[in-house]
Amino acid sequence: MTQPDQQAPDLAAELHALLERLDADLAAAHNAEEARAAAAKLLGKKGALTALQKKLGTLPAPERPAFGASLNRAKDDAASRLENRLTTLEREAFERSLSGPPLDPTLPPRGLPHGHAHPLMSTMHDIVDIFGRMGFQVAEGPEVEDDFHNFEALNFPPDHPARDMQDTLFVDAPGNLLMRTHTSPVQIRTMLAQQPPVRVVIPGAVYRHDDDATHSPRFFQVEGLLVDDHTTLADLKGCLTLFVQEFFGADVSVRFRASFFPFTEPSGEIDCRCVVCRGKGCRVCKGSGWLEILGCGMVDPAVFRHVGYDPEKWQGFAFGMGVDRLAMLRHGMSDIRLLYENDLRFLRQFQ
Amino acid sequence: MKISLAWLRELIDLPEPAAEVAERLTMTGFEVEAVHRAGAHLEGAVAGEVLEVRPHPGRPDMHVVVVADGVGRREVVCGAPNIPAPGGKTAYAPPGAKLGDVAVEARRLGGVESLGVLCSETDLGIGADASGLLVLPPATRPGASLHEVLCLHDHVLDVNVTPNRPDGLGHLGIARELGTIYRRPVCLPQAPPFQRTAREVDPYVRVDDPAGCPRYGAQVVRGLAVAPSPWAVRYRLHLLGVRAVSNLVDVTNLVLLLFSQPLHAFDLAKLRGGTIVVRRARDGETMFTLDGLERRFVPDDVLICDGEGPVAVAGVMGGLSSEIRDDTTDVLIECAHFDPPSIRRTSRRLGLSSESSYRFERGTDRSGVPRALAYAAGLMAELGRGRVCGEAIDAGGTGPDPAPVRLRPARVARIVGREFPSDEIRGTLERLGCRLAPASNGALDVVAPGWRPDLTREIDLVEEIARIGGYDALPGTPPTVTAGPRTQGNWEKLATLRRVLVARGLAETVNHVFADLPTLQAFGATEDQCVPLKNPLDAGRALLRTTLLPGLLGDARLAFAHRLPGAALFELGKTFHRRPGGTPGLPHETWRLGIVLAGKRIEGLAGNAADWDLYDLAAMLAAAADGALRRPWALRPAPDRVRWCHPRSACLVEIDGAEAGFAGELHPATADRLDVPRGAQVLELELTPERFRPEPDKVRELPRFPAVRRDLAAVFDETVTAGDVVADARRLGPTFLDEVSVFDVYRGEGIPAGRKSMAFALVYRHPERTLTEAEVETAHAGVVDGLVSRFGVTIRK
Repeated sequence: MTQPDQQAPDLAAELHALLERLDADLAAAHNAEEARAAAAKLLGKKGALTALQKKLGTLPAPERPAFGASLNRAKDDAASRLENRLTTLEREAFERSLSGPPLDPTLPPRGLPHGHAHPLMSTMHDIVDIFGRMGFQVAEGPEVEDDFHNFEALNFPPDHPARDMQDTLFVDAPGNLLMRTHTSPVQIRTMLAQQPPVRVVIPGAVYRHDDDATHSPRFFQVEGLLVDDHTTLADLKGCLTLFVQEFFGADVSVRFRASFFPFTEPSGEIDCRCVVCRGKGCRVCKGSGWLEILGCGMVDPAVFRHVGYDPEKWQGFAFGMGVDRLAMLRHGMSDIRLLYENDLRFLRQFQ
Repeated sequence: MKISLAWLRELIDLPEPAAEVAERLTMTGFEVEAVHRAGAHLEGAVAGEVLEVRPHPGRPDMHVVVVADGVGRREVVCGAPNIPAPGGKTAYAPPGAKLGDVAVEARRLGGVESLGVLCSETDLGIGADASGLLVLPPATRPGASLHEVLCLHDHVLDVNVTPNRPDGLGHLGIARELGTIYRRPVCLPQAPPFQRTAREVDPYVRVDDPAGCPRYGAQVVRGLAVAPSPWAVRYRLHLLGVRAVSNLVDVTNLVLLLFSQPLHAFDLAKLRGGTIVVRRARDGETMFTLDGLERRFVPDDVLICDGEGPVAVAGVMGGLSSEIRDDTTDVLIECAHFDPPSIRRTSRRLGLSSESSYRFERGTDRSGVPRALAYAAGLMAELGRGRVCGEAIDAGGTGPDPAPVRLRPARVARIVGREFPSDEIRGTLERLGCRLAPASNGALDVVAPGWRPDLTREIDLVEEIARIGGYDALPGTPPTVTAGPRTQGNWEKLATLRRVLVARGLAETVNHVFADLPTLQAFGATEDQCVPLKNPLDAGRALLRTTLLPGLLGDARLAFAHRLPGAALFELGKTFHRRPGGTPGLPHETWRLGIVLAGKRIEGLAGNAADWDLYDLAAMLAAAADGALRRPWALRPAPDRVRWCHPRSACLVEIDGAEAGFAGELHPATADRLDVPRGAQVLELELTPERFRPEPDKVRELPRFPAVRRDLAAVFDETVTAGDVVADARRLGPTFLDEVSVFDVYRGEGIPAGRKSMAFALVYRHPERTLTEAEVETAHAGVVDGLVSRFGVTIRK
């Protein structure tokens, strides 16, 4: 670096003073704008260094190179001081942006909170989904039915005690109408409407003339029907065991025992190991260690005759389950009334 | 049906513990719902010998009794009327004994310390006799446990007997089932041996209605003395839930519980003309039944009559006039088989169900009549110290053999899904009591025993073989999945809709479908549109709902009763509508969506609570229509149509331009009438399958040319909707008017009352080229001019 010219000690001093003042101004600048304004006092169109530059022409020629070189050094110096200051300011601003009081993440989120699915409906949809994955299609039917579809075609003859199993709500209208006591009439409607193979799952509301602490006059069932030319009682066992394990977990054990329904023969019921006490015996399983989950059986030939299927050619199984019971077991509920009261304090427990 | 294990063990060798017997019965079809250990509630009670009885010093109604209990002498205070004389034996519970939930302690009674209590049957919980102390036989050893003295030990199984198995309503039937399961013989019950004495006066029995009464057996027993039954009989009846009455009546109940064969015992002296006639009733004939009620009959009812008139409703209940009384000495025991449907019709018509009718309507064993009758006669003669007179009368007999049922072994395997060796098939059927004969092609001709009226078809036999073989022994074959056609109906779409609505913040509800007329009328229904019930649960639930709203509003009321600030609810459910003009057939059922927004809407901080309004409701409708139905929707003001909503906000909902429901704030008068909160926003939408778009969305090409936006602000009458203006602007504008939307509504300074300013953004964009300024100006001016002349509006510059 060339030493400052001897003949211009006053220039060196002036430049030094200007840069000193720039430093002070830059230090006082709070932001980039102020810093640039400070630098402009030297480097701008009307800046001090610009003014000195204009003086260059008035100097004797021999002095010019030294003067010019000093001036240029000073300009570079000022520009780099500005740059440094800007970098610092930027870093400070970034750091400031990271400081400040923390937000309170425990405040409620903006907008409406998520709603609540009713456990009965969620359970019903989940059951249907499991059978859907096994190739069952959903079928639906009317909730007001006639005697033929609800009883007669399902092999409940008139004057037969099997009708006592289901206390019926009758509709005051011509044609022996009633509130369906089970989802089974949809089996009849499905089979009357199509030829085998049939593979349907039937969700829906059903009704009984019964209203007390453990019975609701309206409740929900899911029913299934599979008809082809080869499906057996062993297939029924396999299918429903798979269902119970899908619903309650693969480690739950299942038993299959004989029972009676007018529209199936052989008939059975599927129990699973009590999910509450794991089989030790508790209030929920009434000490037996087992929970009744569903009723089932091979479609009775009398039912096939009612829908015009040849029972020598076609065979298959049907099953039905109460959604209420499965929902209660799944959610650890003991009072069925909660399912039908729509108490928002109860519903809010389900997402 | 309660079943005594001790009684079963008199009929079959059964060393297995009660729990195992219960398990085997349950697995094969007689579900055992509970097993009670009889006598388990009683601890420490013993036989006591009375040594001394002296009056209580302070209580004239009591005595102080000194008893020996095999350990020592105890003084006990007792108020019973039948304290045995010294030397007599009675039941004694010393301090520390347990009588059910009661722990016996020494306590002072009237100043005398009583060391324990002397007990009646009821105190001990082993019988119904509370009239005095339980007196034990004189030979009883003092200090002997009552369990031992009274043979209290037993297990009672609560068996759920399905309607197809009437044989299971008696101990013999359950024993036979166990005999089949365990491959053991059953010993048929033997009556105490008796000698028949000569017939004295012939009772005359005639069956005029063999269809209603295929078999009528009767036996006369004379010289009887009515008395309480022995302890063992009374205790057994008590365990099985039957009240012990007297030796003669108890015999009929024992036979019922053993053979599942109902009997009726007539006081022979009260049978006028010494005659029994079984016939159908004459219309209007009447009789007082045992329960003291006068019954009126129709010609379908089967009656048992004497020489003058009815004395029993066949198979249902006896008559008051010929009832066994304390002075009865001669009895005619009826043991019959009645036609099940006929018994059921009569029982239902009279509203009278009895242990007898319950069994007869399910089917009794016609072939078993003589055995049950002989057993009853012998037991009655023994317990009543009488004599069986003459031969039993048997009208109708066993009847012809039922037609054999053809069983093809291949059919068993085809239905059940496993092979059964022919030995197993034959063995099972034979143990069930069937008679087998070989038929062609390896088939069997099977005749079922009389106690199994349910075995009439091949499939019935298949079930027997499968269940006795054990369902647990079946392989469980997992299902093979075949791809089927798409689900028909609404199910999957409803699933989407409920997910959308839950995500929007609504709570799903499930309401009852029953309502009363005024409630449904409040939502515009008329009586002839409603479906009534014939036997409603109560008057308030006599009709099926025509709208989901009453249920939802009731739920909102409940939320307010629990002091919740608001309720945002929906239901997806069916409504029911009678077909017009009495058209026969099922009512019209439709799926609907109902929404109720009541009280406060709280978004985020509770301080931001606001009342729900129509635009919240519209947001829910938008979520449902855009998110699930995927159909264009609109709200159209219709205060004249939706009279149950506030006239300012009553709207019809349109889907695809067609009316599909309504929305608005519930009319305050309707809210008051239904006693539900005012201010609720309500919506109901009918969900027909065609309202769900089945096809996928089609893509429009993205715009390639720039858009030009022009705004338009104008003052309109309050009755003009933004939708009206948008629709008109679209109609008035050129095809390249791409979008029209409202972006501001203003009322207040500078706008006259009854009017409002609305501002719209009109976006012009040509799909194929860049528009010129002049084109846009011309088009926009056309829209503005059109709106001015259409609505008479003032354009705000």
